[in-house]
Amino acid sequence: MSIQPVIFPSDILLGVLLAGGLLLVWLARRHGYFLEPWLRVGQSATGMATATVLLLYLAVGVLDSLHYRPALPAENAAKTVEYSPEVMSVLDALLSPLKNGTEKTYSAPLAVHLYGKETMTRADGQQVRDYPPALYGGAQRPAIGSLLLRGLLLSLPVWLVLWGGWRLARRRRSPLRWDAALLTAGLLAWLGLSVYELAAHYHVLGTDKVGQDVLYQSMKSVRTGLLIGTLTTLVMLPFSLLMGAFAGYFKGWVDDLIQYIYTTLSSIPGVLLIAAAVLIMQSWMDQHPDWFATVAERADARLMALCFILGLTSWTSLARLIRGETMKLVELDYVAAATAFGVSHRRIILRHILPNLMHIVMISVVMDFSGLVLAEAVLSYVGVGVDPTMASWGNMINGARLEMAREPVVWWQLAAAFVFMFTLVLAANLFSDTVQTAFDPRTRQREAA
Amino acid sequence: MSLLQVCDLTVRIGSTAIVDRVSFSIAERQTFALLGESGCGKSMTALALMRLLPAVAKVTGGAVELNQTDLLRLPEYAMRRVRGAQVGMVFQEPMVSLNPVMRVGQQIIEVLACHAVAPPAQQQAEAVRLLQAVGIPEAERRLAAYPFELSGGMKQRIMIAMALAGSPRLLVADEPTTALDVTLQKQVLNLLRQLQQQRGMGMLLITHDLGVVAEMADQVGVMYAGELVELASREALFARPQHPYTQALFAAQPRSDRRDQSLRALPGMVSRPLQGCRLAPRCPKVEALCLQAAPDLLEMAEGHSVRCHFAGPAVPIGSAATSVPPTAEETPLLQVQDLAVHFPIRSGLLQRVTGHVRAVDGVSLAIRRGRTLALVGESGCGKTTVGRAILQLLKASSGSVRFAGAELNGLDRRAMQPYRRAMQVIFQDPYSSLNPRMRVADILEEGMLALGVGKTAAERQAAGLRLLEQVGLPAEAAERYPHEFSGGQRQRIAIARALAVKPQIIICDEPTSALDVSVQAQILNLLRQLQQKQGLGYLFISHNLAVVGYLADEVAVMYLGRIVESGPVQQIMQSPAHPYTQLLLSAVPSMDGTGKHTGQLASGELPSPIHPPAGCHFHPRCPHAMDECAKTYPEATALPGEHIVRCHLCKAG
Repeated sequence: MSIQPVIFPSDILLGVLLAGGLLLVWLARRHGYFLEPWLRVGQSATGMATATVLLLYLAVGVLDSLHYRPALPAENAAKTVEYSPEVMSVLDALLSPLKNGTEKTYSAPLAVHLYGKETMTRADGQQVRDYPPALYGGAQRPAIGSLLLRGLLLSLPVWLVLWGGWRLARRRRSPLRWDAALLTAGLLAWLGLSVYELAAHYHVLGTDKVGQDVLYQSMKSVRTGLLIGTLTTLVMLPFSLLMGAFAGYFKGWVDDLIQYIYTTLSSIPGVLLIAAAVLIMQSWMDQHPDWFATVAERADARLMALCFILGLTSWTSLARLIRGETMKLVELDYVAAATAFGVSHRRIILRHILPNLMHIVMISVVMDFSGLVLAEAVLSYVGVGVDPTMASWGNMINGARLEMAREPVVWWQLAAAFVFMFTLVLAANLFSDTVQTAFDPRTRQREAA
Repeated sequence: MSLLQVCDLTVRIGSTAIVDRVSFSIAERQTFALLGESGCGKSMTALALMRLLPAVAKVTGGAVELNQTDLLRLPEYAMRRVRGAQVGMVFQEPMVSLNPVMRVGQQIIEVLACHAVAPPAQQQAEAVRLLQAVGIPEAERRLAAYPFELSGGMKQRIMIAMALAGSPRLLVADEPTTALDVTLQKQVLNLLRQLQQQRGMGMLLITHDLGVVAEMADQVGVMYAGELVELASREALFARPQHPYTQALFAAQPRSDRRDQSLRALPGMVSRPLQGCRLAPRCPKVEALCLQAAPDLLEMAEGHSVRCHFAGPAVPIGSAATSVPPTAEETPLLQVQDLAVHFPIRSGLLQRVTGHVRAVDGVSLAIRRGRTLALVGESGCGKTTVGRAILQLLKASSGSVRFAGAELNGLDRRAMQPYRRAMQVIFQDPYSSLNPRMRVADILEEGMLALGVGKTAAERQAAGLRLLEQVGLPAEAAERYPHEFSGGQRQRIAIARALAVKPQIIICDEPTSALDVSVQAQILNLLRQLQQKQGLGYLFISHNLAVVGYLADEVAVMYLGRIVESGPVQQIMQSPAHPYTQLLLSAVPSMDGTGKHTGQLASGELPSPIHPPAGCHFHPRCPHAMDECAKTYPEATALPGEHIVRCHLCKAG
């Protein structure tokens, strides 16, 4: 079946980010000073374990970013191939049973029937009011226990491979905590394979109001969360770095001007500013429906816009940090020495100031990430976040909001979004903690003393 | 009866013994000095006996007995009563040893209350009495002051008052004067000696400075790489040092009478060989035995122990090449005339200029090719500012800086570029003067790139390797980062960086004051050797008169932004005319080891350059002040031999 690849702007930016990450790895291999703190991250069990979790999220996000439009079944062989208006991703293809296995309405996790009673006509013509059976998974479902056992058995080869990796790391005397990473990977594999086995026959996390699988939605939301957390940083970084470094380096009127800008910006309540910007953007998009070929394209444009808005409103605190650090660096003798050589401002900033700011950038980027993921959820809940058609944890929570009052309560949508988001944010927070300890120059001094 | 008895004290970090079987004792009224260079374990010894070691270091053996109580066996709650009440401690950095948000009175009273020295009603009076004891005027008023309102010398006095608050039997002073100017050092040392006599305390003095030892100590222990290598009375140590390391310390001292030769510095740096004597890799007397067996600390004479197989008279280290001063040109290469740097003080809503800090206020200097001009003064007198203004790193308010006849003041960045090659700078702190993110090769190349020295990359690289060789570093240093080098090596890199653009004048801003004495000797030798080979002119900014006496050809003494005396080094050192110069020279500890405390005591501290005293700036501290001194600033008086002094006394005479 032929396909037509679709590349969204956000896919490009995610690619740029990944390339940037690879560039960092390359730089780290070349410059000892950059590799050293990362090695310290790798020497902490928390760092390695959380990095594994984050990598899993990243893998899901990347799979969900490879978009394409499948060809429609050709009605006539002579005609040119028509492509479906629906944009798919590789993740959609992998999860197609989940994606397509929709129910009529709510069903609880692992339930074999729907949530609400309905009046049905039995085969013998008698009408009964009962829970209708779930369509997904067929009539002959294996028991949950046997599926779990199969998941465990399937994970055994994975464990063997991981154990081999651990032996290899031991033999090479790697200083990194591979044990933590491999253990996490093993646990994740076990969990993943169990869910995989179950998901073939059950809605593991239930279905939502329109009968869509909640597990599928939660997985689709990963990309949204990741993009908001990282692209916003990408938008914010140049602003913060340049504004902060310029203000701290040139001082005088440049400093005054930049300070005025960011004090003004940060004195407006953040959420209001974001909401206003999003609403303007939304109405503007609604007036130009012809710009977007597909619904997904519009949703993507809206996501990008949200990233920009978040980035433009949140660069101030990092800029302030960087300004202060730059002022400290400018007073150092090596900057004076460079000035005595007549080195240009541009080169001083590039070679002497920016590399020495990297630890602050690293720390704040990693620490801001979790905050941004949470911000997306809050904004979507309020209704000024991502497009309602786009899967996101915020939208899931928003959707679950009205059902909280039902008896018995519909809890799984909220819980699923919560668990997925909680895992990501907790991993990111713990990871940022280790990154901060590793990059903080004071830790190095403590170790040296 | 000894007050403190330290026996085989061993402290380890990991498996390394940073203090290795150190034994000594201190009697009442006695001062025991632990002498050694940085990293030799002297501070760790002090911290170990206070039980204040950092978490990574562990005492793994030995005993510390204070009045027959083993401090190492005391539980922590009992130890807390020992600290402060029986052992007081004075730290090196008065600036960071006081809590900036507490009034000094509260901080002293805290100690008094903690050790129940005085009932609450009398604590205030006791605090006043303590401040008076450490020589702080207007003690009642000072109790209400915050640390930032006090000068460095004051803060160190307050630290001493706090250490004394519990009436300790033993005072541990860890480099108490290292952060202070020479005049303040004299005051603080006198104060410590006086208090020790009055209270009959024992004192453990930790220092790297032979001069301080000569002034203060009764007994001296010399430490090297964690071991005590020599233990003797001060007289014996100064008269007949027996250990090669002690001898090397003496030989590395820069002095006026060693001007015509290079300093004899031990090669290399501290290492810990796995077997044999720890000094063996650097020792001039080394023999096969030294490499195999570690010597023991043996008593050579009454009360004089040495850890050396071949203890005895000194063997010269290397060859002391006599240096021939290069012929100096008469026309100065760099001429500074009436240079002034005033920093505006802005205040109020509209940031109006309400005053000026007159950091530099009319300074004239001349530097010749191949000669060294030393600029001397206490910290805060504006000598660093002069250096930066000459380099055009700071904008001068008025005056002229002429290089080979061309005016530099007022040139913009581009016009200044050709002169950047001619003048370079070496800074004091070797840690902040190299960018930690750049390889040494890139550091050396930076200036060449910016100033267009060396056309191709290969050419610049070759030049970089040549420079490293010149400053005595191996070629593979080029690929490494600054943090892999020691302080002395970093200073060599900084020198190589300055030399990279082939300057004619180098402004050395206290290049050796952050270094140990043996490393200082290496760097001074290097600077002198480079001067002879390349005919460099140096402006040597320093507060260390011994170094100045060794290296400089001419001296200019600076006080509060102005030059008060200038002339050839012999004249200034031997017959100083200005009372300030006399005061500076008399404050330098004498190194003869006889322990005579001569010389006038410097009183007071440098006044603020915002409101300098009327008339002669020095008159409030001057022992010879006359009425006229308070009215007019003295004109320059020329004495014979290019010796110029600004003092009313000399005009009259």
